Amino acid sequence: MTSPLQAFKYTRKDTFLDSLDPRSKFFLSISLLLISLFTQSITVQLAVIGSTFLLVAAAKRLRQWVPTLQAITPLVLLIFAVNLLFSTPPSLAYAALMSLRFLAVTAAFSMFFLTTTPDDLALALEQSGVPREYSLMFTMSLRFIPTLAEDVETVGAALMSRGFKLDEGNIIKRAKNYVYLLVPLIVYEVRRSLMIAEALEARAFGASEKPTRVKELKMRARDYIVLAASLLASFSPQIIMWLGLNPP
Amino acid sequence: MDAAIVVDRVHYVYPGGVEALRGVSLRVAKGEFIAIMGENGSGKTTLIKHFNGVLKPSSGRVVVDGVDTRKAPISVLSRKVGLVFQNPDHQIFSETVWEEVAFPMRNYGFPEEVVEERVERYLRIMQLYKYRDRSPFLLSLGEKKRLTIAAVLAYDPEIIVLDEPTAGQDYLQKEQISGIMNLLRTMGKTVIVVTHDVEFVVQHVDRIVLMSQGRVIAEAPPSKALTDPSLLARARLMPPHLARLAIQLSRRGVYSLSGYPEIGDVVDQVLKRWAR
Repeated sequence: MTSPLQAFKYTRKDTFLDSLDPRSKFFLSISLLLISLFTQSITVQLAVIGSTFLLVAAAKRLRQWVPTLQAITPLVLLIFAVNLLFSTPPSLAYAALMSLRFLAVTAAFSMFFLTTTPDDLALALEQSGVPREYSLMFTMSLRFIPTLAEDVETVGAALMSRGFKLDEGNIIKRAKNYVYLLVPLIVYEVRRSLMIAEALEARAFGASEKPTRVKELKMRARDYIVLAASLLASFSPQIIMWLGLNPP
Repeated sequence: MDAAIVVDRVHYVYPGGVEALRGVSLRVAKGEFIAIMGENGSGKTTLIKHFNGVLKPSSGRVVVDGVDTRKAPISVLSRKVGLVFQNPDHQIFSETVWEEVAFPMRNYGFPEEVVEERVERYLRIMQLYKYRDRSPFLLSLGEKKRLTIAAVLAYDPEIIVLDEPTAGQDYLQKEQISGIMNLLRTMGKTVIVVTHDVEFVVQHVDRIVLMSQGRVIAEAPPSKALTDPSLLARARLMPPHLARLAIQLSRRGVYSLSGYPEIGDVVDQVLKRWAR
C-alpha cells in the first residue's frame, strides 16, 4: 500500500535538480510529457524513460524512483493488455507504445515530486498566480497521502480484528470487502479536513487578501538553461525533420 | 498456571525503519489482569497489536493460547483475542449501533438468536441500548468508545485487550467501565489494558508492565510499582495522589509505607502520631 505512494514523497537532498526553481523543474517534466504524448515512436518513449532515468540518477533518487515503476508495473501490463485486445487491428506495437507512454509520464512526474518540496510547490503555484486557497489545497492533499495510507492500514486492521476476512476470497469479493473500509475512512477524513479548516481559521487564514511570503522564488541562470533545453527537447522531432533528417 | 500470551524476545521494526520494540519478553497467565503503562511512543500500542496478529514480530515470537501468531491469520487469532483500538473512529463503520455490535458475531457465524441476545445484553450494559437504531457516527466520543468495547465483549473472546479504555470518559462513565472490568474478572477473562490512568490501574490490575523506549523496564504489582518514584520517573509516570502523599509522609517518619496505601490507614496513622 505504501510503496507506490512513496513515489511522490519528497526527501531532502542536495543535488543539481534540487537547486533548480520548481517552475523550471515542472517545465522539464512537462516537456518530457509532451515529447511522450506527441510521438508514435517506441524508440522516443524509451529515450524519454532513459533520460528521466539519467536525471533521477543525477538527483540520487533512484532508490525511491525504481520501486515506483515497479509498483505501477501491473497497471502498465493492464494498459498493454487492454490496448492489445481492443485496438483494431490488434497491434503489438501500439500496445507497447501506450504502456510505455504511461510509464514515461509517471517516471517524469515522479522525478518532479521526488525533488520538489511541497513548500516550494506552493510558492511556485502562488507566484504563477494561483490563489492561496488552491495552492494550499494542492499541497495539503499531497501532504496527507502518507497519513491516508496509514489510516487505511489502521482501519483494515480494526476490521480484521473483529473477524473480518479482508484479504480472502476471489478478486471481486476482495474489491467488495474494501467498500467496508471506505465508510470509516471517508468519515474520518471528512472529520479531519473539518478540523484542519478550523485550525487554519483559528490561525487567521484568509485574513489578508494576498499574504506576503518570507521566501520568494527567483529564477537563476541555471533555471533558464534548463528551460531552454526543455523547450529545445520538446521541439526536437520537428527540428530533426526540419534539418531534413528522418525522425526516429 | 497456563499462559494466555507468551511474548518471547520480540523486536519490531516499522516499514519506515523505526524500531518500536527492542526485545520485549512477557508472559500473561490465563485469568490475569495486567496493565501496560509507559510514556507515549514507548511501544505499548505496537506490543498489543502483536497479540492478535495485526503486527507480526520482525524477530522473536508471540504465542497466543499455544498458537504462534506468525502462523495464523488475524481473523482466527481475533476469535481468541479481542482488541479494542484506541481511536473509535478507526473501527466504526456500520449503519446502526446495533449492526456495529452484531458485525463480529456474524463474521464468526454465531446463530442469529445468539447475536440478538448478546447485542441487546451488551448494549444495555454499556447504556447504549436507547441508541440502537442510530448511526454510530452520531454518538459522542465516550459513547463511541463504549460501543467499540461492547462490540468486542459481545463475541466473547477469552483474552481482551483494551487500548486506553478510559480516555475521553467522565467520572460516571469511568465507573461504568470499572464495573465491566470487575465483570470480566468474575468471568475469568484475561484482560490487558494500555492506560495512563493510574487510579484505574490501582483499582483493577494484578500486575503493571512498565515500558520505556521499546523495552519492558519493570513488572510489579501496583502496590510496588506505583510507590517507587524512581521507577515511575523512568517510565515518565506520576504516582497517584495518595501514593505521593504516603511517600512524603513516610519520608518524614509519619507513616510506614508497606504495599499500596489505603486512605483510611494513612489517616489513622497520622492521627495516632498527632495524638502523641
